[in-house]
This record gives sequence, structure tokens and C-alpha cells, in this order.
Amino acid sequence: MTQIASSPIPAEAAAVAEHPHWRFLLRPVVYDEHRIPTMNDCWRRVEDCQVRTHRGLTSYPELDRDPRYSAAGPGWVESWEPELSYWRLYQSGQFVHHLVLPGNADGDEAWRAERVARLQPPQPPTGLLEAYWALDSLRAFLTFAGRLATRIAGGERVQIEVALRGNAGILLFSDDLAWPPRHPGYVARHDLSIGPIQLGAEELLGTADDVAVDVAIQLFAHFGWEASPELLRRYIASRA
Amino acid sequence: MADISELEDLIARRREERHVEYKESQRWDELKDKIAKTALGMANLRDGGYIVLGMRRNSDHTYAAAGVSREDAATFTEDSVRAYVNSYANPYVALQVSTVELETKRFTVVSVDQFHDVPVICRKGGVGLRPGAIYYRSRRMPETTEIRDASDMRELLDLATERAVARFVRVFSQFGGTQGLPGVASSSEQRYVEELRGL
Repeated sequence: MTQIASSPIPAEAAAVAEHPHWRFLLRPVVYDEHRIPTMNDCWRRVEDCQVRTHRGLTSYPELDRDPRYSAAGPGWVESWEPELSYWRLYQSGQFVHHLVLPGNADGDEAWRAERVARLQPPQPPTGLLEAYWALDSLRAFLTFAGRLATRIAGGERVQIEVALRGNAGILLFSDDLAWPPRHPGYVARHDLSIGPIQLGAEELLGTADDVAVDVAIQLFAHFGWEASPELLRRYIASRA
Repeated sequence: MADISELEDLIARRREERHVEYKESQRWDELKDKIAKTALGMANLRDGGYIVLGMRRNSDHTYAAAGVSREDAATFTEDSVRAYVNSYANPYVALQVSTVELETKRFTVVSVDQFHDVPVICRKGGVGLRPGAIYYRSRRMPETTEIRDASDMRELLDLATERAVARFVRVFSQFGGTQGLPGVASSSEQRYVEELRGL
């Protein structure tokens, strides 16, 4: 479990952070407090840039305007799914998303137990990271980031960061038996942070898939798996 | 973003020009490689250019305003066009896609901006595209080709120099000359971190 710091983060975000989770971050390099003029514009930018995803996820990021699952504050809007996902977009264009690794939320115990029984790792893992889902999540975030970046910071440089938190003892595996990693030894020892990666807004939009592959290679290496770039590219191409 | 008056002007020309290219109504999938090449070339022109879809070519090489079908227009989403074009561009091509109705006909316009900092180079090979090539639309012919001519190259270099000087002056005046320039990135970073409050 991740240690929650004493900073005054929202309870909805803290609930997500109790599970192994992604932390995705996008920001234009140059700070402008009112880069997005209004709160309504913030909501609209997210809606305009949402990415339709497969494998059970309907869109990235999820946005529910029901006041039970969304809010606006001084200079930001946010939406969450209890204990699964929490994101906030600031008027400055900074976007941060905490997203529980699929299969690692409360209620997913049966799913995890079935995989662990099949994989038979030497030690019980603290959680699981399915390789396909990891690539899907990276691709969804980076595609969304590219769309958002070109709308709010066209012609400028932006910065992205990808982190895995609370993942010590997490086991990397694939549900697809034709695809590595198959053996039970790919385990993370500590949290991972990739970036900041700086690139042009349009460059990010045009190369989101390539960036996803680059980030995935670093991610999988963190678990001890040297992934073939060609394998990852083929998978990503199949999702387009 | 093209508006009606801009579109009227673009259509009235009836002949392709350096800054204007016409295409007949087709789906995005059928046109994407040609549009990518044209956009790479137009981005290297002063003030960029326009690609207008919905123009039918006549036998005398003039064009008539025929319009695009609703189905074809629907295949042109800004995200798709931007993503595809920029998969070939280094550093990037800024463009907008709009569909404008004029006298019951519909036209889709891809507006390509001039490069921002440095000329656009082709990032990778593709249909009619060569990695490392610089595409351009010469004064002599309204078509997109690789730069092969010294005068075209000179024109592009002048444009790039002009942009670099303008950027230099803008940055210096914005931040009070040499004062504070090194601090811009770090102060932005600090403000972003403060904004997050631990998130």
C-alpha cells in the first residue's frame, strides 16, 4: 500500500492512492494560470479530448458530471470513480490522473486469485499488472494528452510524466499465452517514475503511439522484462 | 479556422495556387497521404496554406465548386488529421480542420499554419514521402515537391531566420532582456507543483 502523505489531497484521490496505481501528468512547459479561460472550458476540453478505449474501458478519462462524482474548485475541475480513478484539470492546463491498475481494486480478489493460481509465483504478489492493459492505459493517456495539448498549448512544448505507485511486489504478466511475459518472475521492487518527457504539443499528438512504446519499454524493464519494441508496436498497431 | 468569407475567397480562385490546393470529395482514408504531403509543404510557406475539399477539376484545369458529401466530410476529424500529418512531421505541423456550408454545399478546409520555430522536415517514409526530405510548394508550380532548387531553399532559410530573430526579440522583451530568462522554466515548474498541493 502507498503511504499517504499529510498533504491536504482530496479524500477521493487518497482512496485511489491506497491501491497500486498510475499517476499520469501533463503540463505545458510555461505556466499560465488562466490558459483555459473558464471552468466550462475545462469540462469541454476534457469531453472533446476523451479517448474511446477497448477492453472494458469506455473512455479515457472517465468523466461523470453527476455532482456525486465531479466537482469544480478555484481554478480546476475534477471527476472520480470511487477507489478507481481520480483526475483533475487546472485552468493552467495541468492535468493529473491517479488510476488504479485494472484488477487491483477492492472486489477484484477473485480475478487476482485465479491468475496467481495459474502463474504460481515463488512469493504471493501484492498486486498484478497485466501487460496489455498497461499498454492500453499508456496509449489512452498519451493520446488524450496529445489532443489536450494541441488544444490548450498548440505550438508550445509540453511535459509528461508517468509513474507507477504502490507497486512494490507487483507481478507483471500477460493474459495472452502467446505473448510474453509468461514466467512468474517479473516483479517490481519499488515505485517507478518515467519522465519528465518534453516535446511539442503537436509532436505528442502525432507520435503518441511511439511515446507509448518507449514508456512501456522502460516500464517493463522495471519489472525485469526486456520487451521487444517491435512486439509492442505490433500490439499498438492492432489497437488503432 | 476557415470562415465563410475566407471560403468564398478560396473557392473563387478556381485555380490551384501556391497557398491553395483543391481536392474532390473523398474520404479521409483515401486522401490522407496526399494531405499529409501537402500539409508538410504548406507548413514551410510564409503564412501556410489551405487545402479545400469539394472542388471538382474541369478539363481546362480550372476547378468548380461541387461540395463534399456529408459522408466524406464526416470522416475528417481534426484529431485524426492532426495525428496523421504529425506522425510524418518534425517538429510538427499546426493545422485546423473545419467544414463550412456555402449556398447548400459543404466544403471541408484544412488550414495549415506556417512553421513556428524551424522548418518542417519529413520524419519517416510513407506513400510519396521520404524520411529527411523537406517538402515545399514552389512559386513555379502549385504542387508539393521536395526542395531541389537553390532559390526555394534560400527563401525557406530566410523565413526560418526571420522567425528565429522574432522569437529572440519576443522572449527578451517579455522577460525584460537578459534578466530572469534562466528562471522561466524553474518558476513555471514551481507554480505547477504548488498548484498540485501534493496530488
